[in-house]
Amino acid sequence: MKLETVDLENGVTKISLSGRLDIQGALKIDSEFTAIAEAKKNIVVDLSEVTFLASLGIRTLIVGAKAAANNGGKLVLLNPQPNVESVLRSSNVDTVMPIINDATPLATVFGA
Amino acid sequence: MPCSPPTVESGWRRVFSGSIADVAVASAWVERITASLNLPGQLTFAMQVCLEELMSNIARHGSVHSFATALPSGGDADNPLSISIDIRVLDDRIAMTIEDNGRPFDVEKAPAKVVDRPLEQVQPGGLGIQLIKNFSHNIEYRRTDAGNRVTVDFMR
Repeated sequence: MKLETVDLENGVTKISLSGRLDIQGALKIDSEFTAIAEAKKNIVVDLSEVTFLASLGIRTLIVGAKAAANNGGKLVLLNPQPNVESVLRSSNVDTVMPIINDATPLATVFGA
Repeated sequence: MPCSPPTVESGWRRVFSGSIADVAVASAWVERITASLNLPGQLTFAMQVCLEELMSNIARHGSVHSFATALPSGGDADNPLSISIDIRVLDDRIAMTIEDNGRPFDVEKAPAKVVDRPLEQVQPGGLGIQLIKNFSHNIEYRRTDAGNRVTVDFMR
């Protein structure tokens, strides 16, 4: 599991994850992911390179989303692969973390 | 006319420790089996989801001691956690049976939690049971003399 961060325009931070967000993957990135979410406001999590997602990975994402919300911001999920998206939707996670794609204007998402 | 029992076409069995690391080892093992069977990607993914959730539940909660004090290999000195996985290919489905010697946990009766409230009220965690129930076609739990036995079925 790899994590890369880049600051985009308008105060939006993009976190790109790659690999399996399973129990080992979640344990590996948990601290760093949460620290970034606590330090930032509006976050896009690029899931396009995440091949697997389990409940502990969802937990990591929810902790991050709550941290962003505490800062008055929002965390959204970008381009999940179909199987990963099915995990997100079956848990209703998309009701608290919107799923967007490349065509979605970030200005609309974050109101920036 | 009585139904005849399903034919077992082939099967695999392997024993793992209750460690976090062995969840990934088991996952790779199951992936090799599903690849050898040329199973559709969606079915393989469903099996991986259920395996991951069941095994990580055992690794984190199966020990008679807390997760923090458990041995790295799972369990404790007197009762190391052991997880056996049995995969049977039947004519209409694949049955994956996971047995462990950990504390009792009836996954069949456990509540399937989903996110059903605003983000500020959501408690992180606890979504695994719902994933198991959503990604399998049937789930059956039995407490045996040896521990827990869970069979999840996936229609072919």
